Amino acid sequence: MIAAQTAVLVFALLALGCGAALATIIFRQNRQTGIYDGIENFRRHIDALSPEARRSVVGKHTQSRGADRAEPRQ
Amino acid sequence: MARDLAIDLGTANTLVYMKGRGIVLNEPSVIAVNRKTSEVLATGHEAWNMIGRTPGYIVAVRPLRGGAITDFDITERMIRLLLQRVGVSRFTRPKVVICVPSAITEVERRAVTDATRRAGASDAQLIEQPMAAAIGAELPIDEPVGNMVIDIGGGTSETAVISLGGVVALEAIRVGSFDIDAAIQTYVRREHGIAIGERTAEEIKIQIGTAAPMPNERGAQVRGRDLVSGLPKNIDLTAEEVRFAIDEVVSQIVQSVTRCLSKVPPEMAQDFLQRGMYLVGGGGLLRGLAQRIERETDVPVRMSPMPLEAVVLGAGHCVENYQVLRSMFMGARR
Repeated sequence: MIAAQTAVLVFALLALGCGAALATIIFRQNRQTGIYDGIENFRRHIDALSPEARRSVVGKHTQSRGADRAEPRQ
Repeated sequence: MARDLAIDLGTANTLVYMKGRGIVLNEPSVIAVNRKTSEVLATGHEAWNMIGRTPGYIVAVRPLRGGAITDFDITERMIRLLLQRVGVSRFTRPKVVICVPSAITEVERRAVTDATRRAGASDAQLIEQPMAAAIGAELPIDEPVGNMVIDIGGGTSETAVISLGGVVALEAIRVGSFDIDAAIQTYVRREHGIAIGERTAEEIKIQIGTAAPMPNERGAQVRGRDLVSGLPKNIDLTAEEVRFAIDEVVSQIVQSVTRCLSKVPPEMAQDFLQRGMYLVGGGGLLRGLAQRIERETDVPVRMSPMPLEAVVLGAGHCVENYQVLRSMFMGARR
């Protein structure tokens, strides 16, 4: 009876240890920067600076300025 | 929910860009304070109209000089008022991106961010003015080519070469269009014996100021106070006189552009010859400045279509793409 209980406890501890090790490995792998991460980040950065991306900000201002000029003076 | 903001906290003017809305405020960086009670009496245009015309107990000041905070307390109050005017309350704390000269010291950086956080921002990030100007001037900075931008503000002049979203070369001096106004004041005092205020000097610069000989130059009548008799007096000032008066300041600006060009890798030199350099900032509007820089550097100079708003529009673009462009902020890990 005692031997069976000890065996269950050992297996439970082993399962827990394996689970914790697996979780640690997965966590560390996710935290590691991949070889393509730098490329992706740089691409995103450059894309955000492209004229197409900037058009909304500058275009909106140009439009509002044009509208202000078009309004008749009181 | 607070809308994030971009602020071009310039020596001469302050512009505020609100995320999703565009430029919501554009006015002079001036604040009028009651000396006795320390109460703020006016800001912006209203305070600007008071400069040089206030009774003893009111002081109308520009809290920034040379792009740096000269009076921390007044600057904080000015930023607090700006944030309130664009709808920021105690319960809505936006992220704020502030444009600052690239030459400011670590202490000055901290002063700006502290003032902004204390004024009600949840996060304050700084961006270099020439970088923001290049983004706002719609230069192709995402390409591997040299883009040169010359930003002449009230207190600073900065020249930067930008390629692939980063600064390749940079040259900044604490000389700007206010120094041009001061040079005009000094000249009129020395040569004509009359004292004029900074607003009059600015008007002279706008009316007849030139950095290089221009066709159809004209003169202007200037009113001031006679230094000997103390009475009001009129004098006639020619464009040539003004050009002579401001020549030293203009030369310093042109020399800083030349120094920046000399720092650039040789591969990029041909880019400038083809694409030219771009002038932004209020100081860039001085007549003949583009021609003078072009003559002394042999590189074509073009005026940005929105010289006064380019900086805040560039910072506004960073606010719209806050996470992706975080690396452009000063002190960020590149």
